This record gives sequence, structure tokens and C-alpha cells, in this order.
Amino acid sequence: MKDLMMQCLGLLEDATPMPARIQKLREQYFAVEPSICAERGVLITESYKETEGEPQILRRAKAFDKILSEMTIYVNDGGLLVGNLGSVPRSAPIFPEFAVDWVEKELNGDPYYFPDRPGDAYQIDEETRRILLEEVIPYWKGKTHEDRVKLLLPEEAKIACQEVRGSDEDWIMTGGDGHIIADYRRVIREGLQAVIKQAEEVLASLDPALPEDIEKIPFLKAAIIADKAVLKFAARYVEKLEELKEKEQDAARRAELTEMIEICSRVPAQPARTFQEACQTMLFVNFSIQIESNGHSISFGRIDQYLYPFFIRDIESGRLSVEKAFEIMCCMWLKVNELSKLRDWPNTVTFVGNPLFQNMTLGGQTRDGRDAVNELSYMALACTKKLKMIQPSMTVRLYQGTDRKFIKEAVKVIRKVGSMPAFFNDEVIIPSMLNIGYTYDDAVDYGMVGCVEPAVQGCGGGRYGAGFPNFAKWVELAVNGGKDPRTGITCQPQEKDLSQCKTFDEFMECFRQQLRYFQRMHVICGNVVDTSWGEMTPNPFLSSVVEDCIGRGKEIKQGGAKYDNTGGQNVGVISAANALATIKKVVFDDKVISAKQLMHALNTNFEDTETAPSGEVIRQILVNADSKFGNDDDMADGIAADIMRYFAEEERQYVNTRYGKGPVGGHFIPSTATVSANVGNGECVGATADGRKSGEPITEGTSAFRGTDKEGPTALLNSYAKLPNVLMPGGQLFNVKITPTSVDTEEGLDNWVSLITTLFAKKGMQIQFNIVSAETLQEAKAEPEKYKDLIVRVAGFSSYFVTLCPQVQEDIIARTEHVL
Amino acid sequence: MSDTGKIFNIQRFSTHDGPGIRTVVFMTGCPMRCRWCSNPESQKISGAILWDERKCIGCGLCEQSCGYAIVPGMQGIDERCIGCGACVKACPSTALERMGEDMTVERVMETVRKDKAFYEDSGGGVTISGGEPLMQAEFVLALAGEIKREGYHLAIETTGYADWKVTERTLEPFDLILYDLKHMDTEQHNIYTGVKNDRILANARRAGERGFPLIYRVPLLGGINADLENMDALGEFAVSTGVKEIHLLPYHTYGENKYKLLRARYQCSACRPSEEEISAIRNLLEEKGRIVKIGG
Repeated sequence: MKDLMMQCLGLLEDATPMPARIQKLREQYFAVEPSICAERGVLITESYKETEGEPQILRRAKAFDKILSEMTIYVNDGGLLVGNLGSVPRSAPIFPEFAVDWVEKELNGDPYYFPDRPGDAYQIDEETRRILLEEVIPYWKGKTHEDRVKLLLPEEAKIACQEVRGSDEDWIMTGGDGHIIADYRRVIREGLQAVIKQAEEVLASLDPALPEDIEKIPFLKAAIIADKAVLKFAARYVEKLEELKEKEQDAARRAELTEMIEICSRVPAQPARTFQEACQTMLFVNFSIQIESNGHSISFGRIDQYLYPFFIRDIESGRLSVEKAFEIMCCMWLKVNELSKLRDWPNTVTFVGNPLFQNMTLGGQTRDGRDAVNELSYMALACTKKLKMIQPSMTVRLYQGTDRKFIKEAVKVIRKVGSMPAFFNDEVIIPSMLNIGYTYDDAVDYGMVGCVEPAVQGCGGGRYGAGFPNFAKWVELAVNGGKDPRTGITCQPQEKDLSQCKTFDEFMECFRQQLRYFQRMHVICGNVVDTSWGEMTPNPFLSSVVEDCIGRGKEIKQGGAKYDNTGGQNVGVISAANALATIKKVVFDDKVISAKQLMHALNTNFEDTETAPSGEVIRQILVNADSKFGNDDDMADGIAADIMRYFAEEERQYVNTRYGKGPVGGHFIPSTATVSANVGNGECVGATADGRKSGEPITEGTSAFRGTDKEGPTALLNSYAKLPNVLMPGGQLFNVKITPTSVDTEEGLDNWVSLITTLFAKKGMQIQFNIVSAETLQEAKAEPEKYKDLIVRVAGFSSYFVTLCPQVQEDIIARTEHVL
Repeated sequence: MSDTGKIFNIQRFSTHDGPGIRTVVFMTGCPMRCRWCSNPESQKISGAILWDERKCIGCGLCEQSCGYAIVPGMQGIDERCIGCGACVKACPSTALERMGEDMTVERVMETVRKDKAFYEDSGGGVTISGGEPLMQAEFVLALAGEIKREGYHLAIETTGYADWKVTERTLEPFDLILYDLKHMDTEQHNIYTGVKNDRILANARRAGERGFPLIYRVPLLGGINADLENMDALGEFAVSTGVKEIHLLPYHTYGENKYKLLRARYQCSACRPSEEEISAIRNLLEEKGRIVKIGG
């Protein structure tokens, strides 16, 4: 198969052009703007009116059936795969069952009309607006997930999270979950008919005399309805394709349409026989989950592993060429890009750039410890390299046996695309998963979900996207004796403020007290949201394709999955560490200024010119103190490691709503998958002791605060490697920005590879790069029209730079750029 | 051997001064005054004080800390300045920076060791540069000894402008010598660097004879040394000394800002040769059987 490998490597060559079909489809994509589609909103409203009084899960299944049966479907001109979410490409459906208040407000221009947003604008026509305001929203008032959460949420948690903002839990209160890798392998190999059959058998085996079995009946019935709905959805594409075939003049395209008709007639009902059938199955499953759940991060797992048998069989039998396989894969990438999710404005700032985080995982190792990289891994890299689009998010798994050539090709993709793929270290991730109860076989087969969240494939129900515990805020509160300077509210009183602490250790205990308090609030919010999701928006289809929901007769949120944990996304961890380390150095160790002076300077945002030293001088002292994470300084790095470890260990005492109901786990697990929440969450944090001014962004992931990593990339990587990464099974985000000219040469590329492999030998968990110069970004900001497809890494995901809101653009420009 | 040397910078993750990922130790002091020098702060062996106007917040703490009340911007220039560095310590905003710090071998090694794993993975190591390291030959020898003892690849960047005996003894332990040649014509050399090249060329020849692992490094300065006549002479010299590899470093103005920080005038009239000129030079040298790399 040497030739096959050579051909796949050839796809990565710069000289290899993008296939004409793909070029055209890509142009079609960029020619349309994201828009809002009312169809799903209307259909679910009609369905819910018809099913009032029925068990919630059946109502969900029936609504799902109605949506898939009646929504507009389309086939891209020249496309080889089908599936869609809204009525036109890049249109976002409405999910009124989750929340409608914000939709109504924004339709009325509060804070912006959708087309006028400063980031992630959506087009909307007058008729769509009218339908939503008159026919959809009124029905849902008071009946949504958000309304339920508001009823369930204790007052204390509301104040702590929504007013003081010690943990930002908002997005999960207005949206759906997602964050999962469904069992694509099973559907590809067995077909949905097999799933339906299993559900029917379990249903038949139940004993209605047992109360617990009675509870299972509606779920299993719902799963059957939902799975059959997906089959109807596929059948509708058969009809659509036949219509198109009738009209098609071009013989070659007619032949393609004929094949697509055959494919959609077979899958996802039956086992896939070919590579194209397998790819089409994946899209049917993925898109149906998207339509059902309003989630994001609905990821694909290790596509280069489970698609490989189909690929190799087709290639060997001669029914598929490498070129055709590449076109099919590119079509899959393009299809994934077409999806769009509408979020409310504050959460748009948190998830700016319209990411859906449909992660695909490449490489890593096989269960028997061999290098898992194959021809398809290279082909998948080539798709991302040639298309230069933000989806799917791409993960490259590395272990000690990964071929360096693969890493080098991957960094060349980053050089071309600007930000993808990201690298993940098996040697840390697998132990982190074993540590919380995953079996070796499942852990070694992990895929990435969303940004950086390691997940088992097809058997994990857990949730990664919980709220954003805000470490930087807790330092601010600890300094002020527990009182929030912004709101005047004291959630967790302390005996002392900073000026009353005699030692740094005493002050650290104040911080830990705040941490424990808000961690608890975060857990309360997470469990309230899960409770509401389970009651208000259960997902029968998704559950049917996650092991072992059918077997147990339980929806995911009732404990159907084999594994289940809930994880938050810590934000501002490094900002907090920097502030703590600076307090230690400047106030306690070197005694340059007193705690009182510091507190006054912070509470006046360094603007008091009357004090001696003045506010600005104090700020300079703080900024320039050697006390910042990212410089290979053991004191600062040690504090970062310490607070991360403390949070992780404390968090394991908490359980989620599935604990004890069947799944392995049931715990809360931490991550630092902050997305762009560092910007919005920075707005509510006053001036901090690292010299950061009030309202400025705090840190994302475990990345250094912008401009503070001064000792170069090796020092930065050493700092990161000191963190207790193995205690972060929810995933560790680590962003490094590199000057593009650094990697012009072969030597530059080799050094880049060395940085990654050395970091991973030192037990770094993850690393990802931004490789766009600040100048280019400035130019793109000034002339967005010219840079429509310029991609940057925001946090654990990539976005088109020009779609980001200005404050996030500024944050990215300000990050330290490392010259390699 | 001297245990303490004057160092103005230790740069981690340097990738242009020898193979792989390296740490470069920059020594102060240089006998030459190349007009294009991109490290002018290194020229005096005592070091220099840099003042960055953009970072200065006008707090006046430097002036207060100075025995002579030297005002911001005059540190290091005012003739009363004794270079004690009190102002640098007092400056909260790092607008004042002192280049040139006494460091022991052990202090340097502490930084060097931090990137051990990166050297090993990338085939990198440590490079001693300057200034002209030969001006602190005793310290360089001590440091080199320690670096070799701990097993790192060791390179030096030198102009070779020193007494041969010192040069020979100092270069002996190095795995790679990046040897700077600025101009093949001794008068031109004198005009642009302040010294003639006789000693440099003679030492290069001897180093070649001794079998030292040499690579010639040549800044390509349009209007000064990038003409084909000079490059031809360079090529012939490399052939005659048996040096196979030549690195050409096209002129850049990255150092220009440092003159501003030193409050000195930048007086280099060179320009960056065009891509065509560079490739003509490359061809010329390659025809002489040399391996040519653009950039370090």
C-alpha cells in the first residue's frame, strides 16, 4: 500500500489543487451570510400544541418526527453528501423549547438587531421575524428550559452566579447540551434498524408490573419514533435527489445522483457498505442530533479509525479512487461547516465566531499500542489544509510512538490554515481518564469533544460544557474580605481581608474559602440545569445512539450511558495565579508596597495620582514583578499548579444528577476549555494584583496572560508542563501564538515539532497554535472584506477573524507572539 | 579561568545560531564597531543602560534614586553617570534596562539546564555569542567546560579578532564555530568595522588548519559587501581554508531601535540585497562547491 500512502501524502502538497467541485462548493459557502430560519420553531410549536399532556419524552420524539418530516431539505449543487439543519445553507434553526425571552428581545433590537450585531451577525427577513414574534414565541412563554431553571435555581446561587458572577452559568440556562460523540461506529456497522430492533426487544421484555419498567416504556417508544423519524428524513432526500435527477442534463452528475439515491435508500437504516455510505451515515446521525438537541460540540470521534475499513476495502476493490475519496471527505467538511447555531448575545461573546465544535480526532494509538496513523489520517489533514474553513475542529492525538512525519505534516497544516489542528497527548489524557474510572479499552480509544474535552466514543453521556468558574473573580473577592466591589454583595464572608492577613498562607486560605464557595454554587447550577434538561428537553434520538441507553431503557439524563461525568470550564485560572503570586512577591516577600496600598490601588483601578507611589507606579510594579506564569518561574508556576490541583481535588466530592443511576462516574470533573468566556467574564472582574485593569479580559485556558510570557516558548512550555494536567480529565487548553515567518523553513518546522514532542515528553496535555501575525490581524480588522476566510484560534476552537466581536479581536491581537 | 563574566542577555529558544533549539549566551565587549551592528548595547565591555521612552511613565523615581539626579533619558550618557544601576532598580516600568550583568558560570548554567529536554529532542544546545566572546576568553573557557561536561552541543559565534593563542585555546572545546567574515578587503573592512581584517583572516586560516569545525557567517550588506567581487573572494577564501559551509545573513534593521534606546545615532547606509542578488551570490558560492544557507 505504499502507493496509496504516497497518493494521500500528495494531497497535502501545495501544488495539488483543490478539486474543482470542492472549489465551487466552497465559493457557494462564502457567498451566503448566516441567517435565521423559523421552520423548526414553527414545527415544534405546532407539534407541542398537539401533544399537550403526554409524557415529555414522547412529545420530544413526536416533535422531532414532525420537524424531520416537514422541514425544508436541499441538496447542494455538485455536493456528494446530503443533510441540512436550516432551510438554506448557514441558516440557524430556532429552539424555542430552551428559551424565548432573549429571542424576543433581540428581535426587538435589545441589545442589537440580529443583522446589526458587532460579531456573528445573522440576516433575518421580515416574515421570519413576524412568524417568530407572533406564532412561536407567545406559546413558549413560561414553558421553556430557562423558565424551569429559574424556578429551580436557589436564590443564593442566582446571586453568586448571575450578580456577583463568581461562576458564569448562563449559557447552559438558555441552550442545549451536546458535547458528545455518538456511537457512529454502531450505526455505520449495524444501521438504525438494528437500534430500533433492540429497542423493540427491550420494550417487549419489560414487566409493566415493575414500577421501574413503566418508566422505561415512554423512553423506548420515543427512541423508536425518533429513529424512524431519521429514516424518514433520509427517505425524503431520496425523493429530493430523484427530482433533481429528472431535471439533470449532465450525464456525470446524473450518475452521481443515482449513486446518492442508492446510498440514501440504504443508510442509515442498513449497515453501510461503502466509504461514501459510511460518511453519509455519519452526517445523518450528526445532523439529526443537532436538530434534536440544540447542543454544540457534537463531535465525530476517531474518523480515521472507524472509516478506514470502508476506505481501504473500496480502494482495494477498485470502486473508489483516492481523488474521489478526497472529494467525499471534503464534502463532509463542507457540510459540517454549513451548520449554524444561534446564541443569545452575551453567549455569542462567550462563543464568538459561530463555532459548533464538531471535533474530529486523528492519530493516536490502537488498543494494542501501535501507531494508529493511516492513509486516511493524512487525507483528513489534507481536507482541512485545502479547505481552510473553521469546521470541523481537528484534533491530532500523539503518543510516544507517533511517527514524526505525521506531526510535521500536521504543523504544516497549521502553517497554512493558521490554527488547526490542535495536539493532544495520549500519555497524559489516557491516565487522566483511567483515574476517574474509564476502562483502558475505552480510554485508549478516546476522541475529542468540542475544544479540548477528552471523551469516550459512543458510550459517554457526560457533559463537559457546564459553567465557567471564574478564578480571577475569587481573588478579587478574597482581597476584599469576600465583598464584591462591583455590586457591594458579600456571598462568602471572610474573617479577614488582605490587609489583615499576616502571612501569604493566611491569604491563600481566604482564596480557597472563596473557591470552595463558588465551586459549590457552580455545582448547584450545573445540577439544576441538568435536572431541567432531563425533564424539559430529553433527547430520545441521541440517547438511542449512545451505549447503553436502550439496554437500560433510560434516556441519557436519567443515567442511560455507560459513563457520565459533568465538567465545568475554569476561566481566569492563570490570571488568578498571577495575581496571587504578585501579592506574595510584592506585598509579603519583598514588601515593596503594603496590602492597604495595593487594595486602594486596585479599588481605584490604578487611577489615583495623589498617593505615593501613585496608582500607575503601583500598577507598573505589579506588571513588572517576576511573578507571572509562563516564564518558567517556580514560584508563579507553583501557585498556578496549586490552585488548579486544589480545585480538582475539591470538585471530586460533588456528584451529578446521574450518580448512582447506572453510569460509571457521576462526578464533576474540571477543565480549562474556556472558549472566549475570558473576555465577557473579565468585564465583571475589577483591577487585579497582576496589574490588569478593571474589565480587561482575564486568561483563557492555561495560556499565559497576554504580554507576560517574556522568556520565550520553551519557558512557557516548561511552565505549562508543571501543571497537574493529569488531574484535569475535562481537558486543558493551552494556546501559543507564533510568528508566521518563524516557520518558513524546514528547520523552523523541525523546531516546531520538537517543541511539541518535548512538551509532551514533559507531560503537557495539549497545545495549539495561532500563526497569524499581529499585522495581518490589524489589517483584517481594518479591511474585513479582504480577509473573509482568515482563520484564528480563539480558544479551543477556530473562527473567522472578521466575524469576531471587537473586544475578542483585540484580545487575540494582544497575545504574546513567539518567534521560533 | 574566570568564574564570572559579563553577560547582557541569555536568550532561550534561539533557532538561528546553530542547529536545533538553543540557548544563546550573549557576552558584552567587542573590539569592532560594525556600522550595522544589531547588538550595539554589547559593544562596551562594561555594558550599557537602555532607556525606552515609550515605557517611561514620568514618575521621576530614577532621578530621585540617582546620586547626581540624572534626569530620565540621560542615564548612561550624562558624563557624571557611573553606571551604578540604581536608576534601573528604581524604575517601576522597566523603561530603564541595564545590559551587562556579572554572572557566574553556575548562574548561566541554571538557565541553560532548563531547556535540556528541548536540546535533546531537536539536536540543539548552547551558543556563546556577543559582542565578541573572545574578549572574555577566560570566562568563556570556564563556561564551555561546564556546558561540555553536562553534555550539551556547544557553538560559538566569533569574529576571530584576538590573539591567535587566545583564539586557539578558546575555540578548542567547541562543536561548532560560526566565524564572522565581514569583508575580504582589509581597507573596506577598516572603514566599516573600525579594524583591518588581517588578523581575522589569519586566524580563520589557522583555525582551518587546526581542523576546527567552522562555518563562515557573512552579513549581506547591499552597497558594502554584497557585490560579486567580494563574494568571489570570500568563496575562494573558503575553498582555500577548507570551510564547506557559508551562512549568508541578509541585512536587516531590527537593531535600529536599540540605537534609539541607547540614544545613539544609527549610521548604517547599507540596504538589503534583492532576492535576485542573493540568489546570484548563492549560485556563485555553490559553484565553488560550498553549502550555502540564507539566514542562520
